[in-house]
Amino acid sequence: MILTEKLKSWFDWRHDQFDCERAMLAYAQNGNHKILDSLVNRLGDDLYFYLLSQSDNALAADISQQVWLKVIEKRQLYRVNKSVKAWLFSIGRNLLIDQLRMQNRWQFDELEIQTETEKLPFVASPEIELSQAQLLTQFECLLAALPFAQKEAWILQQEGFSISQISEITQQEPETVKSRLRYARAHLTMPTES
Amino acid sequence: MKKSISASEQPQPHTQYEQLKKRAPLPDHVKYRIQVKAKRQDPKLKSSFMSFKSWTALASAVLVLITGINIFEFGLAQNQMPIVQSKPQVSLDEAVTIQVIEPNLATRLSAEIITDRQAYLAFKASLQSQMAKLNNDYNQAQGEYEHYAKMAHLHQENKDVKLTLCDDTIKPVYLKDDQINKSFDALSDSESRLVQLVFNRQGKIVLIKNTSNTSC
Repeated sequence: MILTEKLKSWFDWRHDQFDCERAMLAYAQNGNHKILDSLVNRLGDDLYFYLLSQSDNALAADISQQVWLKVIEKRQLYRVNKSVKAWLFSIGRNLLIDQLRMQNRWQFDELEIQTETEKLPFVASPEIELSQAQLLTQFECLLAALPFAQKEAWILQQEGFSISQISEITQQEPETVKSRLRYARAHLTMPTES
Repeated sequence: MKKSISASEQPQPHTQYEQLKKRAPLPDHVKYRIQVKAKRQDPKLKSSFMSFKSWTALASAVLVLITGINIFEFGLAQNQMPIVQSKPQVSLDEAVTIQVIEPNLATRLSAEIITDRQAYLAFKASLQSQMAKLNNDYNQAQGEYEHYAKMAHLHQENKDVKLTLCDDTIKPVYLKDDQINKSFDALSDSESRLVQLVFNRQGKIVLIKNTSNTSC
């Protein structure tokens, strides 16, 4: 039992110690596929969820694949001192917008909350008790209802990006990013406040 | 029993976000495709694959060479084998039909085969003797002059010289008197004599000389 826990803590430590930037740098130099596998395991889910929240399963999977294939083919283009995650998200965002434009699905709403908000399954109030699953579904609906720009800024913040990194990824001024984040936060906490 | 929590105790958006993310991981088939692509692009594996390819190419080349030699040797062996007359494979019905249409077919075919075979053998013997003679002449000339030599009849016609080769393989050749490097006794007009022609390796006559031979 103790041994299992020790092993688990060692693996956790290994996981925490994984430095994406160093790994990417090594991959850019030697192209070792095992390093890329580690990067995919480490960052693949984050990128996929970001893309999924802005599109659908098929498109998110397709673009995730395209992003990683680009990383494989253009590994030499990775610049030292740049966040790998930010690089991946930038590539993913550009590909996503291109694809949405091609499919005539690109709607860049700055402030308009989508009508799905009105179709929320329930509106929480302090008197009503909700299960964890219900709360999660409610949150999912709220997140889905956010406009593209606000959702993007909020998700990127949850992914650990700073305001300046979000502004770099989205190619917007930091003030614009801050404003979007404010709107997003207000919208996502709306049910509890109402 | 379903666990319930009050709205005031509801989790932070970040926690909910992480929970949502856990529910939708990157699909395995996408991961697999990425891994396959990364493996294919791995320079280490690529180079080992290339060396494997080179070895395969070399092995294939050797195999083709060995097969080629075997086929060639088999062909040689076939050429040296005597001709064997095999019995025709015909059914009883066919045999009856043939018997009705041409009763002497078997006899005629056998006679034709024998005649053809004799013609073939004669041709082969003639070819072999010609080859032997050619080799002999060539070796003889090579020994003396390191050139190719042939016997020919020489006729003096005014200022020209007409050469008719003994083996009659080419048409008579006319040469101007001053074109010839002569080493033979002068001829009077309309006289004919047997001479030896010496050719160089390009087939050009370089010398006409006397010979002790009296006939071709």
